[in-house]
Amino acid sequence: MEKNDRVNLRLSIRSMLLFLMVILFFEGVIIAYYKMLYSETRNAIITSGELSAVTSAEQIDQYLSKGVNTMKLASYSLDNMIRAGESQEDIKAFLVNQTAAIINTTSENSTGMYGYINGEYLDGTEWVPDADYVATERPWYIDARANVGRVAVVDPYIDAQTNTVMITFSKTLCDAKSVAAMDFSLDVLQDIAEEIAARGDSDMEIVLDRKYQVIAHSDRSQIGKNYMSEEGTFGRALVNELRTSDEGFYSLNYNDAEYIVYAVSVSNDWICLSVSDATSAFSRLKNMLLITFIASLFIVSILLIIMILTIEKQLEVARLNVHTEKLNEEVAKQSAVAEERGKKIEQMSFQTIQTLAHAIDAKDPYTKGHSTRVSQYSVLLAEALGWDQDRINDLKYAALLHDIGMTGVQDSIINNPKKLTEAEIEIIRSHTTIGTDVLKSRIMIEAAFDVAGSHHERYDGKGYPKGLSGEDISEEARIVAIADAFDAMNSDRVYRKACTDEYIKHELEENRGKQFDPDFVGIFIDLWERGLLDDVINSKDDETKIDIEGSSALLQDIFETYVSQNSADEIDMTTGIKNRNAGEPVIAHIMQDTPGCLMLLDMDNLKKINDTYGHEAGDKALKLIGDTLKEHSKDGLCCRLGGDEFLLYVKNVSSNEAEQAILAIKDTFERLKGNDAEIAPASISAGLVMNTTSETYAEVFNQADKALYHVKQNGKNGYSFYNSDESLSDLDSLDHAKLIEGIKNSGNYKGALDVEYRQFVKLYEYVSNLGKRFSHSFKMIIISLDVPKDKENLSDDLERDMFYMDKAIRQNVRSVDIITRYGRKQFLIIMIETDHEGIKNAVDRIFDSYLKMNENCTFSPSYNIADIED
Amino acid sequence: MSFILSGFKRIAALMLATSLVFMLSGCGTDESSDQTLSDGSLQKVLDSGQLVLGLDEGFPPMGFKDDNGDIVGFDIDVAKEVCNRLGVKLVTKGIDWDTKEECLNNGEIDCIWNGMSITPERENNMNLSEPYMKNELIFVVRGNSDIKGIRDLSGKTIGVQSGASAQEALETSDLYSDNKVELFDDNITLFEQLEKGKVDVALVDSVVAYYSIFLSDKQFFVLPESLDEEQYAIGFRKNDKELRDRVCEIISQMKTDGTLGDISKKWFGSDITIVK
Repeated sequence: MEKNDRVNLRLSIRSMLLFLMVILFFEGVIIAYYKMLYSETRNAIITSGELSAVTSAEQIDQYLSKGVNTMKLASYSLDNMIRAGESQEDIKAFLVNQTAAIINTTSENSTGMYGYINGEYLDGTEWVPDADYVATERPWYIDARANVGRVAVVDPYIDAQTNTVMITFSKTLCDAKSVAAMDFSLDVLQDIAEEIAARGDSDMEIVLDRKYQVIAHSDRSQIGKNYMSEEGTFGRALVNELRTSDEGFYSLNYNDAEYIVYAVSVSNDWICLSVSDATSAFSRLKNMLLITFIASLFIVSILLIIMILTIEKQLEVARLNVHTEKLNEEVAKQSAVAEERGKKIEQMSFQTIQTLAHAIDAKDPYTKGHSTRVSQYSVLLAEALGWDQDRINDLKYAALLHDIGMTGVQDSIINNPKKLTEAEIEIIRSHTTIGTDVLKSRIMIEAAFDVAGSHHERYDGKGYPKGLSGEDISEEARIVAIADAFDAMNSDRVYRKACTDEYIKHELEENRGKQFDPDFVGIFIDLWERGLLDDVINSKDDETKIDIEGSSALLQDIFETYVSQNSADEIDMTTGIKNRNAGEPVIAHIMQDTPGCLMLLDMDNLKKINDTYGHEAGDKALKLIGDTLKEHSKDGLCCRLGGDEFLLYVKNVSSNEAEQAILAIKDTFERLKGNDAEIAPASISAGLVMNTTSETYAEVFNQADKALYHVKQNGKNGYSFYNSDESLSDLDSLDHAKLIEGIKNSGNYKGALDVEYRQFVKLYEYVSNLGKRFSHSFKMIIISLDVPKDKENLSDDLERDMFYMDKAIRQNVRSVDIITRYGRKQFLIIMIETDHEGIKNAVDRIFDSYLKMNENCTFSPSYNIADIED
Repeated sequence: MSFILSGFKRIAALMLATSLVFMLSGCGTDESSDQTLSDGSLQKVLDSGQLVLGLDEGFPPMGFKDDNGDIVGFDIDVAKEVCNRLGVKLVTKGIDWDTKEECLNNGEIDCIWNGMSITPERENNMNLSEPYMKNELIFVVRGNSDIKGIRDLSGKTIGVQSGASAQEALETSDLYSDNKVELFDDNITLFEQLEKGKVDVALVDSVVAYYSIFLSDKQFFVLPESLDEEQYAIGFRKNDKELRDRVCEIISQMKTDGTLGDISKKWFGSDITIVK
């Protein structure tokens, strides 16, 4: 940039120099022109001056010549007379004659002739001088002699008689002693001068003699002045210039006025000057010059500025072109880079989607990398099935995103993959921020949706959401279903460790044709046994930087349009009832004024359901709870707090009425569940608190929470009023109908009647009543996991062990036996028609299974046998 | 872009040059000033403290030896004044009018200042001052001569000073062939000879003639015709421009302040100088 500035600076300097030079040129031209014009004007003035000067000179000459010539002629005659020795009287007579003639010929400008001849004064005019008149002392005599034979012109004087300016012509005669003289009027001269000046040919006409005395002047007052002797006057200036000038004309500056003077010699060494005041002419010229100068300066400047601007514009254009060129280069470079990048996009896309998958995984507390592994398992299975690479690629991405539904996308979208319109695809695409390359094609997008929607379908048609079966389910979904289930079982969860290989294999085999495609499962197991899945199984999660934020944003972006607008703010999508933000404050507010019962509900086994059947099942169950609550809370005082927790407030009820309500809710829920195997384990635990409006919402909620916790800790599927001493609440009275109902609807598991504690108690009581007659036929076995004090906090391990114990028991008891989990570490079993031997065998079998499934169990089992008492 | 600029450069340079030419040419026409060359001639005179004036000692009233033996005259007085103003002494040296130029050129004299007439030849050979007086060549006859005019001159003997412009004028005129010419060293001798009758007519400067005749008690007559009109100037060496210019400058100043006029009046009764 610096270089550019330097270039700019140089160019500016150049422009300025150019500017200057052009101006100089033009001004030079103008000055030259002016000079020329000045000379022309001067010459014009001089010419006119010359004309008038010459004219006046001629006229003066003529006039003077008359006198001079007359003098010469008279002198000639007189000389002859002297040589001839003529008498004084004759000479005198001659003079008188001459006088008459002279007066005539000069039109009375002369008075006559006289002289000093042969030592005597003779006057032709009959003028008689005074007695003391000495002719030889008279100027006319002296000047004549001084001029040694030439006609002398004596200085002007004012004639006393006539009051006119007179001069005298005199001449020395041949004897060098006699002088003849003639007086001559200068009036004519004066008239001539005045006339010429008046005519306007010149401003002043001056006649100067040799001594620079004014003989005649257009200005009468100047006559007789000796310009030479004056100091600082115009006349002196005139004379000074006259003396130094060689030419016939010269210019004169006096008092800021400019004059042009033309000088002509007149006979007898006189000078006739024509003076013209050239000030006005020259000043006009000067003004003209000034105006022209300024105007030209102005015009030239403007022109130059325009020129320079144009040049600058051109420069600008050039610069821009250069800039554009550079930009083009940059663009080309960038294009090359982009091309390079394009090649990486494939890889990047996968990484991006993997990031999405991680985001998905991060959103839900599943294991990390679940989506990646599912994707990888799917790919391996697809490859084993011999699919082509493109299809495998689409499957890869689809599998990655199979849990996208967990982000809360509307079911309608997830479950309608094949019907996406172009517009919908476009909208999806247009919302991507990371790039449309993420979901490359319609096929891929649809595949993703398909897999996301269908991987919970079951091969036997009992799946979700559509109950598609067999070949109706897409191969992609079938593959992902297997991979998903496999990884779910093979991963550590929050509450249990990964299942054992045997268990997994068992489950897979068990569900061939039921949940899973029989052929695919076979191939999958085969791959597994051959160790081809080991890399994936053992793969650590990719620890590279994951842009969780970006991925979440992407997911938001992609499905944004499909999130329902109006209900998004208040309604919880999954359950269909209010969310916490909308519902809790309302309930809290009501509770301040209106007494009633606050119920904090919790869905039991949600995680188990999600784990086994996917979160669609979980959502299903949650939705049913939502529906249940909707039914039992017509005034809308219910909401989903989040996860599997719900809040319900029943106004204006007694504790008995509240109890009725919660039982009704549970019944409704059981009804809504129907025969659905997936959600069968779902049940409701509730903590109840009677609100007296005297406590704050937070306090009441806290109590409800504690009550709920109590329920959870004691086998779930129950309810409990808040009780400060946390003792078990009262057992319900036995309800035969409910018991029978419960037995009938106990689910599809093979094995024993798996009931929740409450019902177990009911059954126990029933049996105990029966046992009055058949008391020796029923035994209660209490299986406990020994949890030493120091291992009390290993709840994960305990859960895991309890899980396997649960399974072990169920696998090894008869269908008529009744099982329930009791508390955190115990199982209760009611066995019928059995003896201690039988019980021991059963328990041994149970423990064997337990240990086989759970080789590294933390807690060892033990058992007690108890008679069923009244 | 650079091509355009270089083109501009050329044009600009051209314009600059032209404009300068214009301006300079415009300025140049007004004055013509004479630069006095410093040739050292003036300095030499100043250093020597004297100006040597060469003259024909018999040429009244311009420069001549008077009865007391002093060199006096109009020219002498003017020269004296000039030397005063220069701050040097006037030294007069009588020379042979014939060899005046040689004397000047070999440094014997610094100037010829003696009513020397301007002739084209003299203008070439010397550095002449501005003319300061008019003069005519006139014929003078004895009082008893019967020569009334030029027409009466044929066959007569004409006397003239050798080396004078009169001689030159005579030789170039028709009279020369018709008449006998006698040469004399100086005008005084010439007049004597005229008086004695050795010559019938003398051709002399009017300045000298009228002066001499007026003062003489003998009778002489001037013929009405004059042969030539002349002007007097001072002669300097050809290269002594500085000296010449300075002298002229002083004389001009003398005219301005009237000194010159006074000297003229003294010798002629009136100011007959023609110095500008």
